[in-house]
Amino acid sequence: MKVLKLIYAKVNLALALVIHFSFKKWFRRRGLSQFLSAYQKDCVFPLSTEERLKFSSYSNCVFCGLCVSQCELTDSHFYQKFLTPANLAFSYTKSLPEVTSNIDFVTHCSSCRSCEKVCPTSVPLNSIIQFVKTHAH
Amino acid sequence: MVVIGSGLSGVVAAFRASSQGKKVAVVRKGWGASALTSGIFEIAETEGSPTQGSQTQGEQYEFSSSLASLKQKNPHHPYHQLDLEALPTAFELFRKYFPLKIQGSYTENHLFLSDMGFWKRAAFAMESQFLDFRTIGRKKVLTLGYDFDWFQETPLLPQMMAKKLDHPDEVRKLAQSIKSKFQLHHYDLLILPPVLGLDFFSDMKRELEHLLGLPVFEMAATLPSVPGLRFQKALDAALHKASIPLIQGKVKSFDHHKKKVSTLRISDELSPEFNETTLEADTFILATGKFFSGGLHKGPAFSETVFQLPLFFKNEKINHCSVQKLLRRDFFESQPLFQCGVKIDAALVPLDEFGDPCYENVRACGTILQGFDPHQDGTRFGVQLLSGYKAGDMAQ
Ligand SMILES: Cc1cc2nc3c(=O)[nH]c(=O)nc-3n(C[C@H](O)[C@H](O)[C@H](O)COP(=O)(O)OP(=O)(O)OC[C@H]3O[C@@H](n4cnc5c(N)ncnc54)[C@H](O)[C@@H]3O)c2cc1C
Ligand code: SF4
Ligand code: SF4
Repeated sequence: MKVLKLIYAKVNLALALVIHFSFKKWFRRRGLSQFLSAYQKDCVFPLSTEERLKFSSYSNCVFCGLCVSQCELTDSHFYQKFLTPANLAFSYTKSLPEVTSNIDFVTHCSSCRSCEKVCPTSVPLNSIIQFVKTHAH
Repeated sequence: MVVIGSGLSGVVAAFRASSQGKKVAVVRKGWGASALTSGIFEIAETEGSPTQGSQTQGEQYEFSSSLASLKQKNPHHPYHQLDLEALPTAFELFRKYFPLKIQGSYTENHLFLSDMGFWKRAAFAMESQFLDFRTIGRKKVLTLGYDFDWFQETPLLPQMMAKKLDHPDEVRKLAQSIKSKFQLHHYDLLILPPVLGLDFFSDMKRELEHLLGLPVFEMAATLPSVPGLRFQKALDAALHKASIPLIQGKVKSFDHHKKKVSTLRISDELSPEFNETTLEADTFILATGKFFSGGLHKGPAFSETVFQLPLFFKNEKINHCSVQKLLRRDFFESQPLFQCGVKIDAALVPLDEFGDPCYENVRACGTILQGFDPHQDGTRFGVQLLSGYKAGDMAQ
C-alpha cells in the first residue's frame, strides 16, 4: 500500500512538472494580466524595487498634524478638498492606499517641502507625493 | 556652541549662550513635542490637586511647600540639579525674544479649563487662554465645546479650523451662529476651544470680541493642539529675531577624541540634493526631547539617537530592558517609560552607569532628562526652562 502511494505521488509530481514547464509562459502571462486587471480597481499595482525600499518609511506617520500648519494647500483649497499632508501620509499607515483619491491634492501641491521639514517622525512626504503622481491615473 | 533640537529647552539654551556673547547655531530635524503643548505651562503641582481631575474644596495653589515635598519624594528629579531661584531671570530672557505673550505667576497655580472638560492647574498660560476660573466669582461664563453647531458643521482637524478662522469672514460667520443661538447679554465671558486662528489669532480674537461684545478666551488644548503650533512657530521666529542660525538636518554621527566630542555630521536625508555637512563646536547641547521628537528611540533596544548615551530609570540602566517592564496597566498612572532618559550631574553633563561623565563637553537639557514625567508630575515647563538656561550658562 505504502509503495503504491509513493509511486502515485511521484507520478503526480512528474506530471505537474511537465505541465508546469510546457505551459509556463502562457500561464504566467495570462495570470499576471488577470491579476493586474482584477486588482487595478483596488489600487494594487506592482512596485519597483526602489519604491519597495522607500515604502516602509511611508508608514511612519503618527498623525500629529504638525505638517498641516505648514501647507498652503490646506489654506487656499480647504473649501473644496479637505485633505492635508497629514491625511495623505496617515493613509499609508494602514494598507496600500487608494492613490487615485489623492490625485486632486497632489496635482495642486507645489513640492515646496515645508511639510516634510517639520515632521517629527521624518515621513518622506515629498517622496509620497511623487509616488502618488506616478501611480494615479 | 551647537544646540541640537529646537524645542523650548534648546531655544532657551541658545538664547542664554548668545546673550553671553557666544557663537551659537541650532540644528534640528523637525519639530518636536514643544509643538504639542496645550498652551498652559506648569512649574509644580500643588498639593491635593492632581493636574487633571475635578475641583475640590480647600485645595492649595501656592507651590513652595509642594516643591519641597516633590524634591523629597523624588530624589532623581532634575530640580535637584537646577536652581529654582533662577526661574524669573530665565523667563525674562525667554520673553525678551519670544513674540507671544505668556501670563502667570512664579509662586502659585491658576485653574484652567481644557477642551476635554478637565480642570488643569498651572502657573502660566498663553494670554488668549489665561482665564483663571478661581477669579470668576459670580460672572456668567458661556462655554462652547466642539459640539457647538459651527464646529460640528466644519468637521475638520482643529488645525484646519484654526486656519479657516484666520479669515475675518469665517469669524463673522462664527459670531453670527453664536449670536443666533444664545442671548449674549446674559453672559459676561465666552470661552471657546483653542482654534481661533493660527497665524493671526490675536487679531481674530479681537475681531470676535468686537462682534460679540464679550471678552473671549480659549481653553487649554489637548491633542492635536493649535496653541502648540503657535508656540513652535513663535520659537522659530524668536530664533530668527535673536539672529541665531537654524540648520535643518538630522545628526547622523559624531567624532570624539577620548571624552570630548569634536564634530557632528549632519545630513538632510529627505532633501533631493543629499549632502552631508559637519559642524564643529566647543560645546554641544543635547535638547532632543523624548520618543515623539526622536531624541529617544526604541529599536531592538532603547537608545539615545545622537550620542548613544546610556538611559536610566531611577538610576537603573534600561537600554536593554523590555517595554513591558516600563509600562503600568493603568493608563492614567505615571509611566516609567516616560520618566526614563539621560542621567546628568550638577553641570548637566551626561553620566554613565558608574557615575562618570560620558562626554565632558556635552550638556543635556529639557525633556530628555530622566527622573520626571513630562506628562504627569506637572513640572515640565520649569524643567525645560531652567535646564535650558543652565545648559546655555554652562557652555565653555
Ligand atoms: C502630547 C503632549 C502634550 C504636552 N502638553 C504640554 C502642556 O500642556 N504644557 C507644557 O508645558 N508642556 C507640554 N508638553 C511637554 C512639552 O511640550 C515638551 O515636552 C517640551 O516642550 C519639550 O521640549 P524639549 O526642548 O525638551 O524638546 P522638543 O520640543 O521635543 O524638541 C526636540 C527637538 O530635537 C530635534 N531632534 C531630535 N532628534 C534629533 C536628531 N537626531 N538630529 C537633529 N535634531 C533632532 C527635534 O527635531 C526637535 O526639534 C506636552 C508634550 C506632549 C508629547
Ligand atoms: S506626516 Fe509627519 S508631521 Fe504630518 S501628521 Fe504625519 S507624523 Fe505628523
Ligand atoms: S510639499 Fe505639497 S503638501 Fe507639502 S507643504 Fe508644500 S504644497 Fe503642501
